[in-house]
Amino acid sequence: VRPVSFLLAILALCALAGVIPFSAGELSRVIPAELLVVSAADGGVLVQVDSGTAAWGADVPEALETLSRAAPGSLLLSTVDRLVFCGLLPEAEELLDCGLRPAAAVFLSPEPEDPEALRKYLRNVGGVTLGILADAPQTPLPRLIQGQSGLYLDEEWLS
Amino acid sequence: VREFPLLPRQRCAFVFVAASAPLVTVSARLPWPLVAAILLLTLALLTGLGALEARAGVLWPRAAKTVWGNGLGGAILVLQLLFAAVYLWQLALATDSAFPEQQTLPFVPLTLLAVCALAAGRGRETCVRAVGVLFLFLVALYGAVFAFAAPDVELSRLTVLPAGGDLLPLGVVALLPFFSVALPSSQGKIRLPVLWMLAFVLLPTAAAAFCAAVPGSRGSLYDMAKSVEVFSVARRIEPLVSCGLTIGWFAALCLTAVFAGAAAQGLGLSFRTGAVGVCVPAALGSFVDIALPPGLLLSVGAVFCVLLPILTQGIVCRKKGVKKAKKGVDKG
Repeated sequence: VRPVSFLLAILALCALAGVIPFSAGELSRVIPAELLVVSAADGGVLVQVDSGTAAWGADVPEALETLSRAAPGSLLLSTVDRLVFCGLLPEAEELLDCGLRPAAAVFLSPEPEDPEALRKYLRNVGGVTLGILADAPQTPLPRLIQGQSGLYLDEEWLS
Repeated sequence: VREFPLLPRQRCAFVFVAASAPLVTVSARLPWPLVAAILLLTLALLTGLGALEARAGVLWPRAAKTVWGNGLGGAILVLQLLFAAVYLWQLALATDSAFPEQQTLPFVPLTLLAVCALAAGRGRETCVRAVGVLFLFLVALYGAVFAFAAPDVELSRLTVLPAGGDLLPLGVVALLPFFSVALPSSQGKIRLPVLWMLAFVLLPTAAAAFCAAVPGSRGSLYDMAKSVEVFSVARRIEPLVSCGLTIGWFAALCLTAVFAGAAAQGLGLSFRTGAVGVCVPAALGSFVDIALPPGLLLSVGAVFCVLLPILTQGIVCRKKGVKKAKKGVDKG
């Protein structure tokens, strides 16, 4: 038996036995999230994504884990681009450990608005990223303000 | 096993790719000026060893027996072979770091060791040629990652150096280029072109600098790549970093196996016995996730891979010089 064939046979056996540590997923079931709202609710944390799924947990990692399980497909949190905190300021390191991108922009909001509406509103607005917040937790964050026709971003940050 | 003389640039490409993954992984957590300083020192020692070998005209495994005799020289080579086996085991365990979001032990080390044994079993040339092909891909890959990460760089952060940082792991991986004594070039010399070797210093230094300057990198090139956007249309290029690191770890395993093969040759065994033989304990060790103290690896490695070869070649050169002087006196 040629060594290459032997190696390929072992790899095929590993794949069949499920030893390969990389999980396979169906592409059509992938749900890439763009915006994540993290808010304080009932003594715990409520997380919502723009695709409409929401979940509650005692802390952020637990809530995100529940969110991934509750999603109707494979929810991708590593594609989240905008993060809105409402009534709490979770530790940035904790969010990074959960697989969120350091380049995701962070905003503060007085109340949990509809994530889909927030995604459309904040699509072209940048600001402080999760990476910056992880390195300097005291960095002032852009605030959404409650107006008559809904939330809007402080003009200081729009400029 | 067929053996061909290697071009100096082939050897340099091999050393560069082999050192890339371990150095990038370790350096990303350290202050970049310190990384540059330590790697320049390594380069100076390596160049010195190369110059000594060129003057001595005897390559390392044979030089050990020439200078220290069959008994002591053989013992040195046996210990060197054992060190190579332990080093290969530790490298194999470290390949797991190419995929930080998955627990890949022992699958990834076993796969890479199997491919490494396959290449090393066919001789030095197969390893060098395989890595030579991967070199071009690796350079393009790291070039793209750094180029697209450049807009996220905050230059002010480069001056704020991270406090502390363990330098011992960097010392351990800086031993890898010294394994290139097992790769004689076409002229029978191990001299390394300086420009090529500067790349070996630049890549880890750039990794350390980018990880310091891009917010949220947390001392990891993989995490840094998470921030990178390609023309604002593509993100999530961190699998590319995993790919580059896997290539680098594979080359590092190959270089260590080749080093073990050369030590085995010095002991009168075949190259294949040494190179493939060390992969077996390393593969078994992949099931035992124990990281040895870096201080121990560094001190043993420094003796057997740096100090002893330099001392031995120095003695050969001195003896050669004395003989030449005697001949000169006789002629005169």
